[in-house]
Amino acid sequence: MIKYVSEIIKGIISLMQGLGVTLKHAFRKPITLQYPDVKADLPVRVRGRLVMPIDPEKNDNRCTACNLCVKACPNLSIRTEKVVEDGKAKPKAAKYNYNLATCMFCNLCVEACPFGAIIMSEEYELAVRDKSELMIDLVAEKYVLKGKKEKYFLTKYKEE
Amino acid sequence: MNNYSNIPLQASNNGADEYILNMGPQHPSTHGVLRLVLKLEGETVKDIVPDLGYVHRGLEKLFENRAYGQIIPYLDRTDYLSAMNNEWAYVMAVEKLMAIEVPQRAEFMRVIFAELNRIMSHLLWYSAYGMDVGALTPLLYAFREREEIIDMVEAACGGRLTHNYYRIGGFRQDLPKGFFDMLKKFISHFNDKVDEYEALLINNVIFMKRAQGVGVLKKETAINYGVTGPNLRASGADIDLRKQDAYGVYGRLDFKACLRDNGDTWDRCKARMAEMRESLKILKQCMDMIPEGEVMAKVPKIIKPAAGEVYTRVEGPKGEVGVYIVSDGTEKPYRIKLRQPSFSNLSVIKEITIGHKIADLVAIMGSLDVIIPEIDR
Repeated sequence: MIKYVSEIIKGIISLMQGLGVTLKHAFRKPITLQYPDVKADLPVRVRGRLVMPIDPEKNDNRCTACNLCVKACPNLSIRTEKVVEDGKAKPKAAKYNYNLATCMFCNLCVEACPFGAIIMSEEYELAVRDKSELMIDLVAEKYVLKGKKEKYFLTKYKEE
Repeated sequence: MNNYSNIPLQASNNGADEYILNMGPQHPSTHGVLRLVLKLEGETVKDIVPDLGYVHRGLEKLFENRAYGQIIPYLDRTDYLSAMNNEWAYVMAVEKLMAIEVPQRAEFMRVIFAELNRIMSHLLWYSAYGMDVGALTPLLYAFREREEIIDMVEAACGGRLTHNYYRIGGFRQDLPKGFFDMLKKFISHFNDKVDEYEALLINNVIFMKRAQGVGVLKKETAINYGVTGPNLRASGADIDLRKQDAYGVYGRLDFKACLRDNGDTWDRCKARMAEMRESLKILKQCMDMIPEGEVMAKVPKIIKPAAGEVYTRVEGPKGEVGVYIVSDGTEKPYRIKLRQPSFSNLSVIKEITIGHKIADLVAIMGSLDVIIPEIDR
């Protein structure tokens, strides 16, 4: 009998402990963001989709179609086409086909690039309506970086 | 209904109330696509056969066609809740094969991220387990702290779950500015949060009645089946690879393996809770001891280990994560075998569930903390 009563009391105490935790939380500020309206401030190293930004000094991208990124990619998401313009020593990428569907955002291509021509952007809302839109030509896109990432790109991945 | 091709299970037709029931592949408490074929009598489990392979990707075969450096991102996709621990086991194997000395700062960073991942994994286990046994609130609370860790990790490596941060010879980049401030803030209040979790679910009398004495895993059974990690330590076996192998700089850190005696569902929960506290202690020490300096050793551009074989293992949040590499001296590995804890941890389920009710099966399954992509690979 004593055991029965003491167990009831113990049960009530343990339930009260749990309820106390939830009660405490009722007076805390919410930590959630109202996502589509408010967006989180992302750190500079964040890995969104691959872009090949325009270098403002050259007014062109830095790519020379050396194919090191192609070799570094684990699942063959990148394919390039090389072109050598008349009177210029360095070759250029005529096409830089990036397959967003197979990309796994591992950053290995960015690390492989000796010229710092490509970078993982802050873009993370990547849904499209048609599968063919996932095949992106980064040269034709002429992407312009903004904000934190731009500084990161211009200094060739140095922070502060 | 008796044709379960590869499942050797049949309900007897001699008048007993036996029947076969598929639990999964789309069942919320199997945490992914796992099918458990159950033989039931009423609600009592008579026999149980797990059917694996729904997310099999052939990773081990895939590795044979990848250069050594390219394998690391794939390892994040086995146990995606503790990606850094898998990466560590792998890079350690290649470093051993090539006799690379990792800088001290990188060694401490490895411990920091491995322990952060351990806490992350245990927090997700806690919240998912709460859902399994019918408590929704723990999920919301545990995810708040988990988010904090993910933010830290994201600042360091740019990825939230698929980190791809460890490299053969060290790290991709040094820690970002302000990382230790974030870590200090996290350490300062996380212990109280663990108290909250315990008050909310683990020490709740309803939960205790549900979990105590259910799914008792004896020490001998656990060792025979190759169960590792918190599941094994909850059964009373003092095996923690961080202590036994003392890989990395774990030998210089002061912590203890979290042992329990009974090996029932509740003990497994308690063991994980205690482990989170121990991880916090390790993090605190690492923060004080970490030296300045390089994070990457001198490693040749093309990684080409000499012919030979090597096995390394680390203590992941779920148990022993092992990587066995056979190298034939080329740029690509000849064979890689992953030894991951969830497979062995799941195999013991038949031993400990038979005779329990089907509702207990959910509780036991959750307490084993298996993760499906790790079982299938």
